[in-house]
Amino acid sequence: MTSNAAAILGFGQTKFRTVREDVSGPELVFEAVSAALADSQMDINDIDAVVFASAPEVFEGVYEPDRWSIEAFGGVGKPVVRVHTGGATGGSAAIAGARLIESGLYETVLVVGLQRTSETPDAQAVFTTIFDPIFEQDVQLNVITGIALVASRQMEYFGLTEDHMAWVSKKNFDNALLNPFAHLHKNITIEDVKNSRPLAWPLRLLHTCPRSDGAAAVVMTSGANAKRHKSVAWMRGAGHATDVYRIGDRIKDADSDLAIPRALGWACDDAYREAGITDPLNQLDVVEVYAPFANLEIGYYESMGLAPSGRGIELVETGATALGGKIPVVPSGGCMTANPIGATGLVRFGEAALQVMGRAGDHQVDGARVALATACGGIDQFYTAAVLASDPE
Amino acid sequence: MTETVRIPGEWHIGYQYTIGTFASAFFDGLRKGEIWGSLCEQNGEVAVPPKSFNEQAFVPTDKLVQVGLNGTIQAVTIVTAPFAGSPDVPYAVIYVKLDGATSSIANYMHGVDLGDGTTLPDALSIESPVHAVFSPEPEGRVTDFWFEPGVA
Amino acid sequence: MALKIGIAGWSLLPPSAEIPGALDELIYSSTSQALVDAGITIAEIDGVCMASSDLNDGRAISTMTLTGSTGSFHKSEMRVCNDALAAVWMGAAEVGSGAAQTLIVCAWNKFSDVVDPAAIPALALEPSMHRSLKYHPDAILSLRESQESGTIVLTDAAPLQPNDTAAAVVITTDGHPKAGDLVLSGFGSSTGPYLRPGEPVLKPTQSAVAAALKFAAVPISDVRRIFVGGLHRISSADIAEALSVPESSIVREDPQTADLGYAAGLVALVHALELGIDGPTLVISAAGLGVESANAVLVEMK
Repeated sequence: MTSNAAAILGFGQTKFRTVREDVSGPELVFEAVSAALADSQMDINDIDAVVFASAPEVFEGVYEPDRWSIEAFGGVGKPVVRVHTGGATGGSAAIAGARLIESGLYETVLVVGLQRTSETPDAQAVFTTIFDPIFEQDVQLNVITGIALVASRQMEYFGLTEDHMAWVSKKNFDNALLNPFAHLHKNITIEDVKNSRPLAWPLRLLHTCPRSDGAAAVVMTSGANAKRHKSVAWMRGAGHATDVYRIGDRIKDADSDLAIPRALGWACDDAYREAGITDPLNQLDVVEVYAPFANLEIGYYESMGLAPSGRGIELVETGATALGGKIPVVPSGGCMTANPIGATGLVRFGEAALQVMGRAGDHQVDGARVALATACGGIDQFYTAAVLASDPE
Repeated sequence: MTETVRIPGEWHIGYQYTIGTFASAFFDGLRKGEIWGSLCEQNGEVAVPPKSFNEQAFVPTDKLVQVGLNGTIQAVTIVTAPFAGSPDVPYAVIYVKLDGATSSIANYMHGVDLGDGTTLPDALSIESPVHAVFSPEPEGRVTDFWFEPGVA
Repeated sequence: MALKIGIAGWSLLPPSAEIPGALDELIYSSTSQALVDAGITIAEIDGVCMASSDLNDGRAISTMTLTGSTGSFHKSEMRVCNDALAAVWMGAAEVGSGAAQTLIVCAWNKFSDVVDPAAIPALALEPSMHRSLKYHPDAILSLRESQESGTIVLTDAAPLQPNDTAAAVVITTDGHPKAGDLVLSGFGSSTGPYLRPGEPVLKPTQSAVAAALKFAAVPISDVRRIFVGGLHRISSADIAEALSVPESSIVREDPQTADLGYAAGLVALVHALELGIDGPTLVISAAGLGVESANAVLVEMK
């Protein structure tokens, strides 16, 4: 790890809901930023630069939403940059914040994520427009059908079943009951998942995520400055990696299969290398993975190096990723129970920080010292990975 | 308590996407009942649909090549939830690796009884053979062809 | 704190009303040419930092479909939605942090694919108080100028000329063997309030320039030329006055009304590099309805 590591001082998030009719977009931002500043014991005047994270602005219906929200995150008079890498936005923004600090450009950076998916009536129509307008939009590729196609290969590649997916859904919904900020607070059974509305074979409603309104914010600072604070999470390593756009170009080759997104593996490799992690299953205490679908989480176990090739389902079969298991995955409930797209990656990052600071509340993993947070954009195309730890080295 | 107000709004921005000569050749081929891809000699990729550069090798692709009309299913879904602008449910979308191609292309699968869409018919399982069928009235869109089960 | 970033090569598809080819082909053309210019292969590149606008590109996540052309396959990708000078300082941060040794910074614009590019800026007006009034988005700038000058300011600017372009610069660590004899040494950015008048129009630009010069420890009096991206409605005389430099040092896009979208700042940087750097050279851009989002970078000879 570089000697100029950045550290996270605090995290703030709003309660996630389908619609927050009580606040405007900027007011939602203000809520999260205020919470993050309070959590960090910092003042807005301590902030040297702002990284604003929001994914397609078609959701909010306001072009350049960073400008629209500028007063709400105290950005007037400061350097402000908006990062947008689709679903990976929040993860990319956190890495951007860290790099601005590690390079010495800025001392203390506020990273803010916003998304209001409720402002447009059909999110899936937006998600169709993210696809190639020439070859793919006409055949109804969207996020749900895209991930269903991934699932079909996972059934072939490692024997994914409805049982595996149902277990992950129930685990994540159960975890969300311990997280007051989660959007969905629902007691569900394995049978509820299996009988939920079919969307695109083999995916059903309870394998997927809600559309959420919400915002999140993280305050990061230089290592030198962090030493003056009692409770910090150290950014020990980060990576981001991109795959080719067309799904048809990466379904299967000699080295990879669409079932196991290789770009998450590449991102984790870089983050682990920076953080000195060689045995993720034993060196990580908790994982906040960005997995908006149950089947994706299982495939990611392998990409993140938690399971050998084709054996990610064993972590399901042994219950290893449940809270209290060997390697709890999304103790917060994760994206399946709250998904404010552009902010979601930052929520994973912030939740991971809370875990290693020991401040995650009812979903705290006992003694967590090293955490992995990821984010994903496109159809398994862009990934970010960050390793956060309670100690600087 | 104040009742909250929501302000309606809409965005209308028209586009005319320029697709370039390689992609244009693909749509031209569909009118003639042919499917064209592109060959990158450096890494051997035969991409369907074609592209003028190969982003993995980061070199221009070498030429357009015609691929076969038969292929195998590489990924499959049956859509049972209607989305804005989608066909009547259930319908199947598959990725197919055509003979001679190294990549796969997405399109609709017709000619299979999908039932209620919650179970996968044998004809749709991965590696099943399919063939391309062309519309008699091409519109210059990717939907000018689709897949049906079996070998042509 | 000093941070010097090497410049290994660059390329530009000169702005024009229409550059033929698909958007990803334009981008590939400029990024691959910049690599040739830098003498660096794609395998030696660690990542790509890009600036792009979904609305200008007509894609809800524009870089999702365009990413291959930028060169980011199997590499890090950072994408900003601001003028491309923000991508330059973000890229500098990636190199400066040690996370990357070599990076492509790229930006593009293909307004010839957009039926009515002039319809886009109005969508940046917030919906409840401003967009409903349906006034011309340029009125935001006029109102600011009016408040600043205490006079009536007409909103009658000649329409911008939408242009196509693509630009790329390969940046490296300072000591990289392929780095040339120029370095990026100053980085500044500042942002003004949203929509409302109340501060001088060029204050964010002044702040960004001051920050870049301070970072590099170079006084404004040493700056030889200032290349300007965007700021279409602001005269060179006004920019010169605000920055306390002679008007002759200001170099503009020709014509000044060419709209290059988020690529403007990077195109200005490549113009500066192509014309030759003979001393500290500033590249500035300011975007947003009230030109309130300002960026500045300083280029120096080693």
